[in-house]
Amino acid sequence: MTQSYFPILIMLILAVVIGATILGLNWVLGRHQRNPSKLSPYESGVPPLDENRKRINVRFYQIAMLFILFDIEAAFLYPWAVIYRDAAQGPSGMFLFGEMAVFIGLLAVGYVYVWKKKAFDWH
Amino acid sequence: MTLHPLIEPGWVNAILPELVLCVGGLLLMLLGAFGARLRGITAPLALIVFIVTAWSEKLVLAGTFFGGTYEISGITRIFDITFLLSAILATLFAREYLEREGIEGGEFYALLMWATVGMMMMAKGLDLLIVILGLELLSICIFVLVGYHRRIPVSNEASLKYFLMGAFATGFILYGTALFYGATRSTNFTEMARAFSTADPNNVLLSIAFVLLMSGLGFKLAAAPFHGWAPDVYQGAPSPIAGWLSVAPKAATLIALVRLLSAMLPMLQFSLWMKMIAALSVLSMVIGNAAAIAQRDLKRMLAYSGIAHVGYMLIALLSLRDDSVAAIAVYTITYALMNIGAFGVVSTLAKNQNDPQTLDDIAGLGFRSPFSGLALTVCMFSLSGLPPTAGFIAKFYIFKTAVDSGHLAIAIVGILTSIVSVYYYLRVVYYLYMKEPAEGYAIVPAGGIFATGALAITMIGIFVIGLFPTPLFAMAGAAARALLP
Repeated sequence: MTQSYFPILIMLILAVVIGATILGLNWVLGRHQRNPSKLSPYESGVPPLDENRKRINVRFYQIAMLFILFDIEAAFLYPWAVIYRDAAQGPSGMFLFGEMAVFIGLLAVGYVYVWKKKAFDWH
Repeated sequence: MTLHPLIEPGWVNAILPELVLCVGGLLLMLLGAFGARLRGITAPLALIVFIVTAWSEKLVLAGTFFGGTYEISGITRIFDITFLLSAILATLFAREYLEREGIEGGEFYALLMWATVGMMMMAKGLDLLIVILGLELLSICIFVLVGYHRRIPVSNEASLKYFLMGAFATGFILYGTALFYGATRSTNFTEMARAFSTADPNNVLLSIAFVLLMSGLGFKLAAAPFHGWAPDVYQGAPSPIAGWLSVAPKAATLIALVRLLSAMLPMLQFSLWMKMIAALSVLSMVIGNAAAIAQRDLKRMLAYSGIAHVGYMLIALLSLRDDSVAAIAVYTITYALMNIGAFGVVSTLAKNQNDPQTLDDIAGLGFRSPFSGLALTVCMFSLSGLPPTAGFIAKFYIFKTAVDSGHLAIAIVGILTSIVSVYYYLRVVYYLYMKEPAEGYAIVPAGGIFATGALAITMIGIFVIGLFPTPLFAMAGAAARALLP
């Protein structure tokens, strides 16, 4: 069983050897210049304006989290809707409908809750 | 009319307690958002929901549901009652505690309810995936409940620690489950049992799967050597939640473990797996009891004592027979009463929650507040296992099952370590009655009618089980006989 993994081992070794060779040649043959534009994150890009580790208002995260939550609700609706059209005639049509009704109902309660808690207000 | 092939008629009956709790939680959550002025009635409402749930247990018919993934039987009913009892006690202690801290809200009780639903799923699940689903529902609620003191750094730290380590442990459980699926081609306990009856006991895949799963569940049980989180988390959590956390999730994990192990029964006698559980048990007893001696913070001391008690309960898992399962069931009920009671007394100490709740805080408390002192004394006697309390009976039966099944060495370790534990439990009583408080430093318990009622329930329960254990054991024994093949 372990023998079938042997090609993967060879590939791993090759990847390390090739990577090390290219980087090593680069380091040996290339010229070492250390000026500000060489050391910037993108040498020929837009110069950075500010630090990237700034503190961000926690409200951004709250809004983003709620967005993802309700976004995923929509994502769950798609596969359900694709299946439902054919399954509605079958024996478990009512079951599928009930499941989605419960799911949306629960999310609606959550929606009302965060609305009432003023999580959508910026101030 | 059949809804779906996997949904048997009577399914509403099967999950009636869970439905009541889910809807009750939603209502309380909305009440918290809409009726800010109705804050006073959330706790009584939560109590009513819990009592209605306990009553609805009577309407539930035994059987398996949802395509053989959900089983309701006598033992799940006993464990459901244990979970509800813990939740009711936690609610009673939380009422005045949260009010005093100014953080009361419907969400607290809603989370407690959903966590209880998760534990019920763990107890009733006949499929590893159902157990994991319940475990996750439980864990997510615990993460929030532990950090419910939003403005207190210790509480935030505890919540984050539990979240990071809990997520890690869940990874172990999931990986173990995946390997079990690979080895037995099923996650259903009955089908796994069929695969185990013919499996090779030296199968490496199965051993790795078992070790991974036991590590993850050991984390949830706070069994040594997976116990590191427990003292910090209990210290930071609101005290009523710390008490509940030290009992109910452990009970749920234990019953899930009993189910898993009873599915493996044909293999267990051949493999070294039982040795792993024995090692967890001995380590928990030794480390828990030895470390508790050094603690001066009451909540940390109770956390280490909780680790030791998990060690005692794991002893019963070694011999998987009906009397040992009954012993576990009785032990968890007893443990719920005495440990939540002890944490409850700590929760009534009106004190800055950022500071540790030390032994010095209760110096002389027995005279300043005789009732609290008496309750804490009874809980400590019961925790150390002195007759005529329930703790003695529960421990006695655990050690008896170990001796009956030939695990004499572990029983001796258990008895020796529980003798050691008497020292630190009775030190609390010593501080209560024989130590003068420091000059100008006397904390008075601020418990009201709810906390007093809860303490009365724990004391009555401890003495009733301690003096008349036969009916409870008969019920648990009958339920356990139905569980095991």
